[in-house]
Amino acid sequence: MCKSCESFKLHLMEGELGRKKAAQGLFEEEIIQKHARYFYWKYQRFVSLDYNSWEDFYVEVVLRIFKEKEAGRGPKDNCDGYYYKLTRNICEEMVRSTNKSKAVQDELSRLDELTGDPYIIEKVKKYINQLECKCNRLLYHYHIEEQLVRDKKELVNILKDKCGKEYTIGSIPVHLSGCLNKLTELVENDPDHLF
Amino acid sequence: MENTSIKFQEYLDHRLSPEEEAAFKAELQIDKKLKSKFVAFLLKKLQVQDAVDPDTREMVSEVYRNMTPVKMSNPSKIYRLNRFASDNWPKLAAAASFLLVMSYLISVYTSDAHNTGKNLNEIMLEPISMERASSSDMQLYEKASYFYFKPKPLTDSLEGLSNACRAFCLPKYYLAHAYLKNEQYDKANLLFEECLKNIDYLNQIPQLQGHDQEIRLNVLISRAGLKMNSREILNDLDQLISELQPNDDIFERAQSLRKLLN
Repeated sequence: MCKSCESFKLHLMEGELGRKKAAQGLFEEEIIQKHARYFYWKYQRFVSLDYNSWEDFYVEVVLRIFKEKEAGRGPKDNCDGYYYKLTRNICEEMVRSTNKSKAVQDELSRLDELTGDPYIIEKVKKYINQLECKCNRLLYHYHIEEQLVRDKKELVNILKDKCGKEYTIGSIPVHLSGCLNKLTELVENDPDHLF
Repeated sequence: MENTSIKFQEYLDHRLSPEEEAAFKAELQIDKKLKSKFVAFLLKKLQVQDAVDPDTREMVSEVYRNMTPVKMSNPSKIYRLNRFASDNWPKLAAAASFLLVMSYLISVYTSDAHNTGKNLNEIMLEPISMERASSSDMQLYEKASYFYFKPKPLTDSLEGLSNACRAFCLPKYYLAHAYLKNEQYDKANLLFEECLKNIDYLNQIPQLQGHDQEIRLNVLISRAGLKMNSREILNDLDQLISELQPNDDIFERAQSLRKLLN
């Protein structure tokens, strides 16, 4: 039986403080660290695309385990096997999404050639510029700029510097997703008839 | 919109035929609406679905930030070996089973021959010693006996003596025993069969008179060592046993051979 299995549910009953304790219990679980290390080492090529550092990856693994256990789907007795499989699944998902996103990135990079429109990226940028500061900066640095910024902490700093607002690291993926939705809508409707 | 999305996805997955792909690309260059939809589709595909709500993400990240950072080091060799074994256990189990079966079969095959040989060695009857049988100069057979009764029979010397004989001679009798002792059943069998053919000659030697049954038993042992027809060996052995008295030393050995052959 793993250390955190029994105490996890009890901690959850203690409200927000208990959730933190439960998360801390998972971080203290040595076997999770071992599996995370192993998969970080094994999937290095893919991990480096999605996670800036080992710590990002490790936090992601613990986070996913936390969510699974919180939803009552956690391990009953074979914690080691469960943690191992979950960590492996995260990595497999990562590989799949990396491959998919690579295909999309490839298509985006040769969009001008494909559409016969040399200014197509500039047109997309124009729509990005129409978005509010948060989305403008996030999309520009995360998807458009030559040196893409994938470090969430750095993105938070950029948003603070350029937009004057403080965002949490955890909220960055949600903002990114929302901003991308806005941009997609703009491009699809093409209100300025740029395309 | 749904149809176009399917088409875009098919294009992205390279599921369009070359003709369809060419037609799609041509349309993309002309149709502005399709162009904007395609760009929107690609942008949508960039979205990474986050399965975790931002609050939980932030909470877990904060918990980690307040702890001592966990250092990244390469997983230990033992851990990797353990993982390799866990991940590949069906293959490893199949390989191990195969090796186990093979080693069992090999051991059965070799141990059968080995055990038989070992027991046959124990059963065989030693030749009659003729050392110092004469007070005159050492005769050929005395030398042969001397070479045989060394801690390990001097087969080379016995072969030398045997080769010097034009016809059957006593060194061959000792050499047959030496071969049997060394589990060289093929050579032993040839020589013992020769001894059997020359049993009259051997019976003329006073020390060997009445020992023909011992030679017959050794012939059967050498045949058993060569895994010759066991039924024939058993028939001959039964014949020999019927001629023996239960208190004979050779009787017990003949029975042992019988047990081995059954």
